[in-house]
Amino acid sequence: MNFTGTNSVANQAISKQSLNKLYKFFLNPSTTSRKGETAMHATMKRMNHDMAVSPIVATLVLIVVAVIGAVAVGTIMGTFSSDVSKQANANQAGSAAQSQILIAGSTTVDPITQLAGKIYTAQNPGVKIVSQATGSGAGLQAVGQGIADIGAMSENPSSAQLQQFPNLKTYQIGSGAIVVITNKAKPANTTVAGDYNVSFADLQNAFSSGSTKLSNTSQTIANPHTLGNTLNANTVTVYRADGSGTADSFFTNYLGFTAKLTSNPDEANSLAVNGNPMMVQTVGSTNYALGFADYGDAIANINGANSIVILGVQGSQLDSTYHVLPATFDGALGAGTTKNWNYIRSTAKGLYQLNVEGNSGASQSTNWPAGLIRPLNYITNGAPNSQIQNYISFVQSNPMDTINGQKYGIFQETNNYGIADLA
Amino acid sequence: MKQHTDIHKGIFFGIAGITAFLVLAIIGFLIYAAAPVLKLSGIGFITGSVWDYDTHQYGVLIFLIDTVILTLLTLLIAVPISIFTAIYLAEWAPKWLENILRPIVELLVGIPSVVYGLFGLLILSNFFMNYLDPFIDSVLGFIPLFRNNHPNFHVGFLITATILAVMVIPTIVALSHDAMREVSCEYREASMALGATRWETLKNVIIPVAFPGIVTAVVFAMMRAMGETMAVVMLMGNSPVIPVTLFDPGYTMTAKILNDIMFYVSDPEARAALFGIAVVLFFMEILAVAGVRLICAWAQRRTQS
Repeated sequence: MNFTGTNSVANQAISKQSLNKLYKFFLNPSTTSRKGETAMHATMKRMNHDMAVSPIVATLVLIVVAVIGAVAVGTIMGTFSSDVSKQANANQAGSAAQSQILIAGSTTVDPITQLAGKIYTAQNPGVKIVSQATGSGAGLQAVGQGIADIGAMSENPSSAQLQQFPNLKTYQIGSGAIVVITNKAKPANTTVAGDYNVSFADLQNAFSSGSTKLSNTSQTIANPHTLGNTLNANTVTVYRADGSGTADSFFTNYLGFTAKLTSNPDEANSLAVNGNPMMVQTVGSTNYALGFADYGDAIANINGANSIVILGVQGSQLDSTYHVLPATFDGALGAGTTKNWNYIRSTAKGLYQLNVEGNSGASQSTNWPAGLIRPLNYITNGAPNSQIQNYISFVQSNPMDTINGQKYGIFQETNNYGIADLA
Repeated sequence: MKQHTDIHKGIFFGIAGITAFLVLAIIGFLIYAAAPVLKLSGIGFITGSVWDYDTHQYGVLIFLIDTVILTLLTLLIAVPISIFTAIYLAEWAPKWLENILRPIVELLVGIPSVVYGLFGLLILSNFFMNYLDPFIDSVLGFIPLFRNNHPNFHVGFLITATILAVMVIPTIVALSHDAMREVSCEYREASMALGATRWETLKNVIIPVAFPGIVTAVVFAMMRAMGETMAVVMLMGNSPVIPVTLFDPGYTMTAKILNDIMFYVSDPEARAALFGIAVVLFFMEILAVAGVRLICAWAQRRTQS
């Protein structure tokens, strides 16, 4: 938009000047040249700062900040308050006026919820599923206080939790397995004959502290934090610092301790980490590390970074032949699933028939230690409305997801077991 | 005109008031939330070293000691490096180099701590475990402090303190650089005129005058190191033991809060205990700031006399 030559030159001069200013502003923000200046410098600087922002500009900035803040708060509140959007009726089921089901809790259940939500929304465009992975405890708190519609837990609510929120209803959507893992390059286990890598007694001793008690005898462990002959003398035990549902099941259901340990105050050669993925990462990068993780997270590492191995533990039929599991399920619902997956499922099935269906005569499989299987639950506060009930039933039916033209149940895809596999 | 000024004054006063109110509200909330457990444990909350939700024992001593050691180690690494950098920038660096170095240092402030943590965990930790830790052990291993008892650990005090030092260095450099630059040129010229060398001027004039500014910089760094959570959770190993060597794992107060709060948020007593840690941490920081302010006042009196 240059009208004359002179203007153009003037424009160039101005832009050069302003560029220079910009350059000074960004590269040397607080002062002009120091050398050769006198005490005037400080005064001038203060004057510069006084001139820098006019009151009008400041007020405008404040207003803009306030507006942005208000919008941000509104957005955040909108995410949490599903009650409002629930009132949206079917006629308004466009993308802007979807009704929303908020699910918060277990990091293990989160991937299942994400997959289920994607498929559910595709089939029911008016309903949006929002999943927040905050941990089982936080999920229970959220649903108890009415912040979330559904709480996700990778264990059953404790009696104390049921006392705090007496109206909680538990819907098991599936089961998950826990596996004992070790570093691949420098494994914690020694080579022993037999159908396992680490003996149960050695695991109990290695993970216990001086004050650990067994729930069946109420006695402390005889040899706390010692390493037996199935474990290397350099073994580093890795705990879950955040005290997850995974750790709860591992310590109380499998090892038979009265309470879970989130770290070991008596054993300096131990670490503690946050979350299943970090557990897998730490075991994979620490020589002689011995830990436990969700089966799905362990498989994800073996298929990817491949820095850990799953250990066969005493009481399971896993042995060295089956440590490295196949990349994915090559068929849907049982056909072509791996031997390990079948072992775990048969135990999970027995547990489900016994605990949920109340069939006391259910055949208890011993293929996999029962303590290493835990239920995956959806929790509601009181009876759910029909929309939420619909969604829960949908997840319990183990919906199919299509990947590269192949169909997989979402529980298989996340290396878990749906109710359809267990009932 | 007068009216306009009053409106602006009102706006700014209001904003400042909100800030002050927020600080007071958070302190009040912390103490209120922690009160049940502080009442239950009493002084044992600070002197006890057992933290067990099942036996209702809450003692922060080990977390407290680990926090203090980590903070001191961080400052030990960060303070000399940053002060020397600031001195170089203020006294010797040519203008163009100062213009390049200073923004680069300031850029480091903007990196989120989770990124520092991941950098430490995924990249630096392998270097420490495979090269630096064995090297320190072989050279200085005859001193117990430098003995590597955990050759397989990629986490521990040394790597955490190193990452924290990188996080606080920009703060100390920027603030102490400003403090040195604010020293009046008349002082410099007077000192030079008396025949002092550049080094003598630095030692006897600039550092003493800039001392309060430098101390403020170190206080800010200390607060950041004490309060840092994410990187510490990733790099400390979360083992509640009092360290014997530089390579031992540890467990700080902030890490304990972050690790436990998500799971225990639904248990009122456990939640109160975790807020109790926050209260102790808060008062530790107040004490530290008060202590440093006292040192600063003493140093100023000495300079003036």
